Amino acid sequence: MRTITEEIRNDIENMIFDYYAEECEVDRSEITMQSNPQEELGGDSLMFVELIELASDKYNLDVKLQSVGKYMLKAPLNTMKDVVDVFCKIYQYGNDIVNL
Amino acid sequence: MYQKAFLFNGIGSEPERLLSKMTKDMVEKFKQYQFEAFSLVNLNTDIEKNYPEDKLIAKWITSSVCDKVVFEKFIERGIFPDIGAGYSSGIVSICAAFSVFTYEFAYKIIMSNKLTMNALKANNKNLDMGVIIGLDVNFVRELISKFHLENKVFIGSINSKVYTLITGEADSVELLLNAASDEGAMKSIKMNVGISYHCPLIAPYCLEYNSFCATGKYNDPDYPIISVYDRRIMTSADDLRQENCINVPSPLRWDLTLCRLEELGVTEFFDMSADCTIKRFSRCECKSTKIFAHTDI
Repeated sequence: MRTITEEIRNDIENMIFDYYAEECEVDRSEITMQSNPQEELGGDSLMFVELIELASDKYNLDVKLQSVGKYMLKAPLNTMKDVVDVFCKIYQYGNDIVNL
Repeated sequence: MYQKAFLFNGIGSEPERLLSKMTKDMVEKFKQYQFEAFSLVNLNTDIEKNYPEDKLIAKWITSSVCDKVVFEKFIERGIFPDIGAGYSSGIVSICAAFSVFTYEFAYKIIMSNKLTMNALKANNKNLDMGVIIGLDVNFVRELISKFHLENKVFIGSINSKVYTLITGEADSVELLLNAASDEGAMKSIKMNVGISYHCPLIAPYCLEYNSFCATGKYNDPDYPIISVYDRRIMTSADDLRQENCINVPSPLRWDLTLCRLEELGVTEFFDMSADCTIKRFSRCECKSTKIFAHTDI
């Protein structure tokens, strides 16, 4: 398991917010931790897949989409905070996220 | 030899979503073209006012009309294709845009899907399609085997390594989608269209549709079109007639089509869909090639 620092968490949060702002054509300042990524921002599963690939490249992560998908059965993404949390978990646990 | 490839989408987008990304000028043009198209095939431009069985067709024609508006925007901006590809029923839209046949004939082809729907209904065939996102296609194949669905559900298209279109008997499609969801698919959703494109099961019921496709006047395309079935480059009227006639029952490979275009030298893809769908589902497959939607120009 990798340790996640406050700095890395902030970095992950910025990466996610920047990505959603650009892809959903929403002003970055309008996105909050309480925003619903699908209903409010217009995000979708393909975007989420791409974001996982971006994060994998950026942080040198080894994670299968299916592992993340299984984890999300237990932790659905209703807010941007949920999205940030799942990416922090991916950073920490990689494929072992499926066992959480 | 080829640098710019124009990519045309098939069915599946909701009209509201298609129009939401268009500029005011594009929407005005759309309204005019939609009126002309719908008058031709006797549909109401207020989609909800059509007979239930015509609503789907109305949405599909709306999608093709939007493609026309987007295509014209690129041409007006001086961006011309060197080659093109049509995803699924996008073959009909690209044929109209590349002057293989008229837009009028294209709309009539889309309308003639009703012949297939009627044949399915008369034979009590309940078919459908679905998409699975987030599972490797080989794993989807394993699921099909695990549930003994080999003769009931088929892979209609591999759009990318983690985006699969499945097609077949409605109950079995649903079973597979539920299994995919349980196995960690990011998305597994039934399309609820009552028809299974790119599926051998539909072959006996689309004969009238195929006959209609074959009867039209076909011309050589203004620009080459790559086949999504065997990746050959089509430059003649006869090639395109055949491609339209095999479209409905044949599985396609969008992922391989994009790869082949890159091998042929394509460095820029242009998405002709109004809601930028092609860009969204193609860029997972081709990360090194730029994909531009109409909102990018």
